[in-house]
Amino acid sequence: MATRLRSVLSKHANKAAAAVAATTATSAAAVTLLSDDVVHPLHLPWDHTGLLSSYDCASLRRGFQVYRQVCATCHSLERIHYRELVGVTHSTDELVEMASEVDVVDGPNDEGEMFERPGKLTDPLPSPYANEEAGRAANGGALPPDLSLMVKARHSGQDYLFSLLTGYCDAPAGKPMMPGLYYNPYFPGGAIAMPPPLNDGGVDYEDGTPATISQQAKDVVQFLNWCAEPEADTRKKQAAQYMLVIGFTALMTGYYKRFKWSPYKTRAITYVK
Amino acid sequence: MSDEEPVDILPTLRKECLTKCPAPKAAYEACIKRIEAKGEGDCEAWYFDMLTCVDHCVAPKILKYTK
Repeated sequence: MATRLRSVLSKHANKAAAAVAATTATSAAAVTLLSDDVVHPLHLPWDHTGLLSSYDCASLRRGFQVYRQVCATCHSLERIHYRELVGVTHSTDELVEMASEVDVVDGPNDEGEMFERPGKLTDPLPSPYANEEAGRAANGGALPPDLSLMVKARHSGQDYLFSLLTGYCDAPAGKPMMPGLYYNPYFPGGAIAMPPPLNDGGVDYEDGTPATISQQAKDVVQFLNWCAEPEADTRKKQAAQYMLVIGFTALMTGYYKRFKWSPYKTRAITYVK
Repeated sequence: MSDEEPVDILPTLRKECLTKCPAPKAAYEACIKRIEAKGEGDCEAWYFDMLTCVDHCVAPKILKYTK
């Protein structure tokens, strides 16, 4: 598309002023496209985004596994607590055990000292780095962002994340790449500091699903979508309930009004001299 | 980890889809020749066109291969 626009624009360079005045919207779009330094992720037919569809809990469970075994090495998920995952990815007992494997700094105690204790359900998921500076220092200056709201924090949300995770490829001819950066056409600028995170068979799914790159990407993106919108299922259910009740009420109100007004609507007025 | 590594369909799918994008592919290859002759410049814009074309073919299909 950029090629076509470029030739169109150069052909009509002398008419540019008129064109800009006449078709402001088109020109603006064209200029944006020309200056873009990313491939725009296309919409993927996710099966949990429909009005009446819900998250696939098996996929969320696999996605959480991918997060814990792959992403959590560098990325925090600090807005999610273990208790929020109960009934979504794992049972209470599984999560209690999972949380207790983590040492959490708590306190102060009676002597004013901070102490370490096993994690509880009410703790947030552990962050890989103590602070932003530690994250930068460990990753060559590039901070691995927190993933809690990542689906909402990027344009095209889950389509972008899926494309980014699966989109690593060779850099185009003539593109200089700095050492320590990887080419990814979906990342603005093309050079991303995150090495390709997923590998075929990189995790071992407990339900036996073949852990291909696209399967892991789909699962972890759906899980991150849940992290950003844990209320989505309830919201859709409540919306359906509200719409049903409001629709029924509207029908009944309309009927009631017509019923009450029918004597007036059907009366005949005669004028006697 | 299982004994046999699962193989992702995505690279194969992309390769198949690239055959349906002869025009952007030719434009990208023409660009490579141009910058080789010129000795400078890059072909990223043409590369993006090619990848976008491939994406149009891949995007509706890929999730069907996942569970």
